[in-house]
Amino acid sequence: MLELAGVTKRFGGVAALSNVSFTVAEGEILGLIGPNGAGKTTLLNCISGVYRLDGGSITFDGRRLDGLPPHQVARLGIGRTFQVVKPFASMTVRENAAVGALFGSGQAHLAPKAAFSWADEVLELVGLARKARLTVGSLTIPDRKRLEVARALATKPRLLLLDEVMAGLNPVEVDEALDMVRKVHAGGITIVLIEHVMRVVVGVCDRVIVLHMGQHLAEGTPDEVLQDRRVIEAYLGEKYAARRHG
Amino acid sequence: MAEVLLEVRGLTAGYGAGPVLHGVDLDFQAGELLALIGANGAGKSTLLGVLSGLVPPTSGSILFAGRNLTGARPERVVRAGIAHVPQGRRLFATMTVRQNLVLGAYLRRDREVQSDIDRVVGYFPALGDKLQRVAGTLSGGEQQMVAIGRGLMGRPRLLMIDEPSLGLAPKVVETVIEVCQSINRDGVSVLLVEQDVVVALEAADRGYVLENGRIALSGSARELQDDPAVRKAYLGV
Repeated sequence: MLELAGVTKRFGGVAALSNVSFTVAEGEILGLIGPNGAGKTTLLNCISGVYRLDGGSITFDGRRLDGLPPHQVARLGIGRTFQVVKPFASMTVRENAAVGALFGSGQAHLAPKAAFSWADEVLELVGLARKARLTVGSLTIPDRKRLEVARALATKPRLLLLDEVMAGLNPVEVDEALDMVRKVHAGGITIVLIEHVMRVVVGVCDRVIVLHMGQHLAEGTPDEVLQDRRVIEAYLGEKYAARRHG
Repeated sequence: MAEVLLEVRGLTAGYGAGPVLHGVDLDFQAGELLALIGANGAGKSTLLGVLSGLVPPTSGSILFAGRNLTGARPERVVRAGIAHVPQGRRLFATMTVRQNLVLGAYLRRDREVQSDIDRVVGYFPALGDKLQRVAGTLSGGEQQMVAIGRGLMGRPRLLMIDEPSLGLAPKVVETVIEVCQSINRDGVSVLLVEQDVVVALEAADRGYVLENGRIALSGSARELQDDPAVRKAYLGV
């Protein structure tokens, strides 16, 4: 479904991504992990058209994405969330989701009424239906993350990119959010997610790719990757490894 | 018996739409590393806000090292020896690491600020060659180190750290928590608010569980780790 070949991105003299290649199969949940500053968010920004590549290519359903602006990538069916959530603060939860519906994939000239009805569906899916009429300011952190997912879903993506939507949740809240991810996935959406919370990676990912210093360090099932010595050294730390086996 | 550092009684506070904290009691012995855990929205950050003078209490009392700090303004709280490392780091992003650290010593009149910068670098060697870097360009883990360092620069007796693990790689979380423990061993009392309950209870001496603005449970970290209700509600096991 998605293919990255030799993706390279530099900022000044620093190579944020060097020659990163991988594919995402339709129907998969792929985890993207790695140290802070490894290039994970940069990679999402390259896929979603926020950044232009300095090398390589990105193909979605056989169509080149690199070079397209973000709104066109969104219309092709790729939705994303942002790590630092930026909802429209003065609007309600429902209005925020409706904005996503109005500007999403192939829905030019969608009537406001239709946008609101689609917004209601996605809010139901992420578990925010009861809070639809609240202003965003009154939401807790987990709910703001849910709204971020709802806004991305409202664009009707076939591929959803999630950037740390579980950060700041305790283990039980993570489990609730995982149920949401499973529901979204069950609706036929392919997912790529960035997380530092290993409970997430082990809980839902079919496959994991580890980035380190802008390069592809390891890849495999969650179990394989979390036991990989290079991954423990660069990312997980010995204490985590010990706890996992303790 | 150990000296009582902080005594909170019947603390109530909120933001207009009704109280967030409903009569919180808390006892902190000097030298402890205390973990405060609870779901999002339980009132943990609000409690830190009240303790540091950012959120006015509507009732209750705060006694710190024998002084009444109830409703005190932030600068008085800092002068009394409480430093607050806020959630999300809140660094001065366009200033250098050194400038951020120096600002943490804003209220001090002594000449030992430079030696305290060295002390911060001693805790976080990764910052050693980055003092002239603009803080906003550092990685999330390094920014968290600067935030904790800035808190230390006020030479607090109590360091309150709100969710240091947020958005950090597991290995960096371990480093940051280990440093919190060494700061504590060096004589600073630490109040650690943390969603990573496993890590927090491993590091802490004692813990408090905040639920819907009330202290639902408190005990030694070991007791809480083994408590079936805590395991179910916060550890998800």
